[in-house]
Amino acid sequence: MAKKLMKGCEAIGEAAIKAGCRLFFGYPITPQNEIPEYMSARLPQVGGVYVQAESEVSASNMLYGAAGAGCRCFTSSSSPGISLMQEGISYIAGAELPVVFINIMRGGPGLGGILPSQSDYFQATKGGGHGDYRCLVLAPSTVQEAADLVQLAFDLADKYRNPVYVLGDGLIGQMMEPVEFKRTVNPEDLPEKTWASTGAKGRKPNIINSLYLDPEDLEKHNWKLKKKYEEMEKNEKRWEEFNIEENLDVLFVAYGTVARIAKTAIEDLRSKGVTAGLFRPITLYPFPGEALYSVAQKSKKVLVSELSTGQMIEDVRYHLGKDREVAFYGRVGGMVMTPEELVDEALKLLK
Amino acid sequence: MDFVPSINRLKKPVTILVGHYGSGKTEIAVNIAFYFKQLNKEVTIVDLDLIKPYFRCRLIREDFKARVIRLVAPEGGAFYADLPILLPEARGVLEKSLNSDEKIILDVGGDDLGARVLGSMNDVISESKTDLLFVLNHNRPFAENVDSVIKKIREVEGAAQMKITGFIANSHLMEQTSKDDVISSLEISKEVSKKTSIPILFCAIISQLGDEITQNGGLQFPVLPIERHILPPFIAPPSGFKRPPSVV
Repeated sequence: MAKKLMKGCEAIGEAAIKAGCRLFFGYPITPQNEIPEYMSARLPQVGGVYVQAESEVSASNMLYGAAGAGCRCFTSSSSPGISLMQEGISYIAGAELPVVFINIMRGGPGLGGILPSQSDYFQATKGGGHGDYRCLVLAPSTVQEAADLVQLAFDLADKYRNPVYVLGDGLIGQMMEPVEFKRTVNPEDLPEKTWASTGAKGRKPNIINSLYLDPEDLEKHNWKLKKKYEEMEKNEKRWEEFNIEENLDVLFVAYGTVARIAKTAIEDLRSKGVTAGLFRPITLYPFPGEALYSVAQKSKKVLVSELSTGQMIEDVRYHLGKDREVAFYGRVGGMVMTPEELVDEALKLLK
Repeated sequence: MDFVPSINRLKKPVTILVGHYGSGKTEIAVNIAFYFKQLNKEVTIVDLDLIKPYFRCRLIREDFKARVIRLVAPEGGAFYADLPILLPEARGVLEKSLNSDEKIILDVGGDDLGARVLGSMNDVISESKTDLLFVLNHNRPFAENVDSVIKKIREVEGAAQMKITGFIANSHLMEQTSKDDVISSLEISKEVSKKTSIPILFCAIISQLGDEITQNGGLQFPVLPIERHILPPFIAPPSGFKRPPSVV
């Protein structure tokens, strides 16, 4: 298929269709309104259904129902809306349902603002809702990667029967870049979900549920989930290394748009005689900590940069150990650091 | 590359840009404003984008200031909002245009939804003094074929309560645009033009590609070289302009 010029939000929407998804339930919020807008125009063209729910809470419960019936489905929202969905996400994790959640993050806490942010890292990677559960978290840094990771998110959700987040800062949703869709999945060609509740004709009923009153059963269920998360940790870590070589002066650790800004800063630093590289986690959960550890051994300094006051840095510090000094540079509230700011930070660190 | 033959086709004092969401209106509005300024005109650009939340022309307010181009956009907290704020000042600028020869550019939001604001300003827009230009990029979703484009043109005209007076052919894939992309998509634009009897005023081309095209026989259209100014934070702005730590 020929390349198209798309906004991140539009590419995410089209990628869901190309992944064989025909159901969207959601509620508008800036800066991701182009996803529901796009789905409302495109889904009727491909025999799908777009439902604007009365709230994010109801959207997340509609997803529970649709996924329980064995259909690929997804929603998109931005930070405050994702907070409202947490009840549904916990239930979906508990009932082991494959659902894709897109979060195009804006500044918080509370209503915050409408400009880009990465301050939902904790929410996405450490829980968000109640109970012992984990969601896979994929973080694109280009419009093309947003499209690719949405397609992957549907596959991983089905593979693990688990909610998957695609976590992008507002810029990932709003910027435009050329995109190519490499793969188209026909919904009819997807493997049958034998666990789904599709009408129990000639078989025992399948039950979609997260209620376990017997504590022995609930304990067993929790350990079963834990085993699944261990599988994800074993198989699904993804990252990108940029400009990594022996004897780096500075290693940037950043994801999403900030990683793009760091790449520009790395080129600038090179012209100033400083060798810098980038470690970019693509999966935020599971966090590629072992790979980061081995790359960090090659660098004098480690500088984490985020559009938050410091969230991913906790995972970085955990994996690099308490003896390793880790510097931080963040902008928040919708302010976005320039490459020049990162260059200055790196130079300060090397003084 | 010479921009004068293209820019001189915009004879009227008011230039309004409409078109599909994401077709390139804002970037073209900014480029046109800069070109008018190079021709020593007095220039006002009105940010009437009530649709998209980021990457509006108000993003480069400091650049406008340095070039002595007047920007009309909401101020204070509303500067950052994505609310349908229509400034009384925008009407004032157009009322004044009825007896002045300064150049006024209106950057309007995408689709018929974005063009609706023009309908509400109908009483201060004089059709005889206005070029209402529809920006075409066939590489954008919902703008790929002749019929879908014509449908959108009619919807935009309905919302704006005005007739489109010309097209700007603007098919591109940013820095990945090839000469062939431009030429093949121009065929679709030509067909739209033929079916609607609306002329293509010029073809906007990313400046580095422009030379390659002119050296290869041209397009039989005036070409307007375009530089990107409304950029994400990781791309350096042209002409050494300082990047702001914001993406409004």
